[in-house]
Formats: sequence, structure tokens, C-alpha cells
Amino acid sequence: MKKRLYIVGFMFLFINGCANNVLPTYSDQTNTTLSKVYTGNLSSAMDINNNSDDILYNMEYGTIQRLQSNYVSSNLFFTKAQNTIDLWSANWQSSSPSAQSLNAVASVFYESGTDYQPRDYEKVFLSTLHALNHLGLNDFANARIEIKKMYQVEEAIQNYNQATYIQEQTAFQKEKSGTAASLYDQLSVQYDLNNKVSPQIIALKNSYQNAFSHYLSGFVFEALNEPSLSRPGYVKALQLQPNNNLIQQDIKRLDSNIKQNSETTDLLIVQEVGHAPQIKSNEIHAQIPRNFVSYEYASCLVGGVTTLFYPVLENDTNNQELYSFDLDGKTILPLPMVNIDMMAARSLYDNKNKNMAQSVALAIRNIAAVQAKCLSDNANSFALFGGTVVTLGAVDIEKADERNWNMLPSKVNINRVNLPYGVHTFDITINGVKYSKQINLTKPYQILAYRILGNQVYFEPQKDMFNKENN
Amino acid sequence: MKIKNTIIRSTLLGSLILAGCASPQVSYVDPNAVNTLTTNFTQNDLRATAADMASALIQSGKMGSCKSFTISPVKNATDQYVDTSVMTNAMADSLTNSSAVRSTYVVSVDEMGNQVDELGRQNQSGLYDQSTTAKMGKMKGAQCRIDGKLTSDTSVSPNGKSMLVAYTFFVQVFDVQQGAAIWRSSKNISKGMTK
Repeated sequence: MKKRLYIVGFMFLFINGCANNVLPTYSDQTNTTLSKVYTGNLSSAMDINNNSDDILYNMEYGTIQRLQSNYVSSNLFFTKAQNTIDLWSANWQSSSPSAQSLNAVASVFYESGTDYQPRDYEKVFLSTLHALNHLGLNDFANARIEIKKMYQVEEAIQNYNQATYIQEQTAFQKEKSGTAASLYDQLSVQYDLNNKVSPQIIALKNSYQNAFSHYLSGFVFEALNEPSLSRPGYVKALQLQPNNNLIQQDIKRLDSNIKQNSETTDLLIVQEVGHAPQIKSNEIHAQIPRNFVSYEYASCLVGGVTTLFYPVLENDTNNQELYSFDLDGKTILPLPMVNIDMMAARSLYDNKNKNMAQSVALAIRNIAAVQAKCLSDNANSFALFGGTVVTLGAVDIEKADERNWNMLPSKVNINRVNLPYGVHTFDITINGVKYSKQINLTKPYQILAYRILGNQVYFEPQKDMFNKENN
Repeated sequence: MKIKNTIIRSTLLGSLILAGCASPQVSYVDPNAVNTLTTNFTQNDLRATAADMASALIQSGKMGSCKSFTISPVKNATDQYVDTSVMTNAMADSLTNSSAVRSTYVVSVDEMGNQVDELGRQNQSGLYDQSTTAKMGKMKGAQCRIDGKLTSDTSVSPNGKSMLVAYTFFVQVFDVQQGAAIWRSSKNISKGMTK
């Protein structure tokens, strides 16, 4: 019996071994940040921490810096976050296939006490926003590096998924048909009920590839006169957004070798809307299966009920999907490119098994802890590890992982226009509030990005694009 | 006792997580080794295909009718991020370095920008002794132009477990003045993967 207690204690130790990122109330934190961002208080939206190794913090804070057009600062945080992803890309292959399959189930065990594992679409978006920052600094060469990282990360994700899918499914089915089967069944019903999956979500190619990142790739390579790399960017974007006329035109233009007129700018307008869905932890009280509990401890498990947790999405409802704008007095409606709400939903759908495995593993641990305590009370031999187990219960980490990159936009829409060099007027009216900018075009390829959050419009222009009096 | 097994299994899983923290090992590998890790068109494929095509062109003897030649950038008509400038350069290397080819390689469209910049710098900046500068209007025009295009077609088995990607590299040589093709050929590569 003592052996079992050692094991429970050891579990607690290893769980906390890699943890530097216990964020039990992440949605509370992001609520505070979002309320400040939505009311224009960007500078106080998040506290700065230059020494944080937390990838999620670095992604969130880097985005806040980007919204303020502090691209150099934003890049510092994005680079730190990217280092973690680069390490993952290089490292995951080093595990054996069998270890990967077990790891896939285990890695979510006690996740809220571990370092944040970015969702696959977040890995892709990190390189994309990093590239946009470099473009903001008129640095196409470094934007090119980030774009290459973007599709290399996609490839790593694809390879990882291919390598682990079958083993993961096999491991999960074994778990699911074991002693905890009824816990899985009870959880699965609620998971599906509260995470409704539309046909559009199922129709997504996967949860990590998005048309905007590849379109941007096409644009950057085109600007750098590398048509052999530009074309696949547009082609992949079209595969992900098959009805988008703009992408179709770009491929035709590239194939026909038509050069743009001199002294004109190909202006890519990127409209980012809202914030990414927040994740909330829901819970159900599930009956502990009779065959699951050792006879001698049955009396300790009061009511025979345990709590199971599962994640649900709360989408941004503060913003429309699209906002028209005026360019030199002409009204233009942007074209939708990415719906991150749907990508997040697809991610939850794809990770249902992992999320359920996490929840059931937590429940098993809790039942084990109760049984260990039961032994302690009965035999007074719980002194060594009893305190540890009680502490586990006291910390509010028993919930589905609520962390995700909330400062990502909810939607990304684009337009592309060819305009003569010189000053042009960009106007957009949001909920009756008009924002007007004079933009100065001086180069063949330029980008104007902006984020709409409630009544706020945060412009993310290229350096020297706005006339001084605008800023 | 059933719970005991579950705990032990969970602990084992935890140790696997920690094992995942190991640093990757880096080593040198043969750059010409066959890469069967992916169905994508790899650097090896790019170089080998282009070199094979250049050899076929040399063996055809058709380059003998060209005093000078240039190569247009190889077009990438696949949906993969393939840097076909590697193919363009590999073909230029093979043709230029072959003792069987007497024609001269002249600057391509891609290289023209730098060439014009250099001529302008030497002739218009006022910084150079004009008796030592390369003169404007003396560049050689290409008598022949080589065009290349890479295409691909992907087939996936109905059960999704097998994938076959067929690549075709198509090359033609034109007489620039006449606009006539003097040589055409294609090379196929197929790469399969089973999950």
C-alpha cells in the first residue's frame, strides 16, 4: 500500500517539474486585457515582462505591441515564442512512435499546470504576424524568412499528425474501452452537446492551415520577384478559399507574366476583426463506475460521483464579420480569408479525444487521492505524502485548459488594389466613429493592416506610410 | 487494485513527457542521398532532375546551333513551395561547364537587374576611369532561350492511406529570332507514400 502512496506523491512532483506557467484563471486575465483593448487602453492592457519564457505571454504581449505599431518590440516577444515552436519542430521526431502515441494522451494530463502547448493554428499565425511586423518595418527579406517558417511549421504539424494519428487513436480506444469507459461515455455526450460542429467546420481542410498566411506568402514572394514561390502561395490560398475571385485573378496575372505599371503600388489591405474565441471550462458530475473502485475504499468515495471537465468556446460577439471602407472616396467591401472562430472549433473537435483523456486522467488522479487519504485515515500512514495530495486539491487547477491566444483576431479579410504613387485617403466608419488616414504610397508593393475591436480601429501601417499629421 | 495500474500507467506517461525535453542531435549527411522522407519535390530532386535534363540536351547536340544562350526562370506550376531557381541554376551550371557545349551563357531575365545596375554605376556615377569601364550597348543577345516548367498531379487512394505525386519537368529550347522550338523534352518523377 505504501508503494501506491509513493507513486501518487511522485506524480505530483513530475507534474510540477516542467511547470512555470500555472494560469488557473486565464479567461479572467484575458477579460481584463480585452476590456482595456476594447476601450483604447493598449498601453495598460498587459504588464510587461521581458524575461518571461511563457510562449503564450510572449504571443499575447507581442500582439499588443503590434497593435501599437511597436514592431521592433513585438518582434522580440514573437521571436521568443517562435524559439519554442522551432524547438518543437526539431524535437518531436526524436521520440519513438510508441512514445509519441502515449505522449499524445499524456501531454494533456494536468495541462493547466504545464507549459502552454500552442494550438496548431496558433503556430502558423505566429510566423504570419511576425512576417507582417517585418513588412511594417519595410523589411521584406526578414518577412520572407518568417513566411518560410510558416509553411515549414505547417509541414511539421502535418508530419506530426500523420506519425501520431493511428497510434493515438489506438491508445485512446484502449483507454476508452477500459475501466473508465463509462466516464468517457458520460463526458462525450456533454462535449458534443456544448461544442456543436457545423458542416462548414467539418469542411475545413484541417485546423491549422489558413488562406491568409498563404496569400501573404504569395504576396511577399511576388514582391521579391520570386514567382516560383509566389504561385504556390496563391494556389494554396485558393485551395483553402476556393471561391475567392481575388486569389484566382492573382494566379492568372502571375501565369500571364503581366508586370504592374511603373510608379504604381500594389496595395494589400488587411482587415483584422475582433479577438479569437475564449475557452471556458465546463464540468459535469459523473457517476464513478462500480468496477472502478477498490472494495476497501468504496466507503470513502462519497456519493460515488466525480467531476469531469471539458472545454467550450466563447466566440467574439462584439464585432461584425466584415466592415466596408472607403479608398479615395470609393467604397470597398473586403473579402473574407480566415475565420479563426471556426479554426478554433475545428481544433477542439480534432482534439476531443485528447481533451477527454485529460479530464478522465484528472478524475482518476482525484479518486486515487481520495483512496490514499482513506488509507491514511485508516492506518495513519499517510504522513509523508498526505499533505501533498491535499495541496493538489486546494489549487484551482482542476479544470479544462482555458488558455489560448486570445489576442489573435476573430476574422481576417483582405483587399488588393493598384494605385498610383502618391497620397491617398483611407476612411472607415465603425459604429458611427469615423477613422480617416492619409496614406503615402512610394513602393511597388505595400501593406496597410488594421485591427477593429469594438469601436476602436488600431492601424498597423508600414513605417513612413502615414503622413506625419495622421499619427 | 485496478486504480493502482492506472496510477502506474499515468506515472509512466509522465516520465515520457520529461523524456521529450531532450535536445535534438545534429549531424552532417550526404547532400546527394535519396530523400524518402516526403513526397514533396526536394532539393535533391530539383538538382538531379535539372542535371538529367541538361545532360539530355547536351547529348542531343542541339546546343551546337546556338552561339549563345540564356535560361528563363523555371516556372513552378505545382502547389508546393519549390524554389525552382535551383533548377535554373543547375541547368546553367551543367551547360556552361560542359566541354561539349561551345555556346556562351548570357545573362538571364533574373540577372538583368544587377547587370544594368553595374553598367549604370560604371558609366553614369562619375566615379570610374572611363577607359576601364564596360561600355553600354555591348552586351551579347542570346541566340537561344531555354524555358522550363515543373508541374505536379496528386492522387490519393480512396481509403486515404496511399498518396502518389507525379511530377513532370518540361523543357524546350527556342531560337529567339525565329521563335521556333529546336528541342523539347520532359522528365517524370513519381513519389508515393503509404501511411
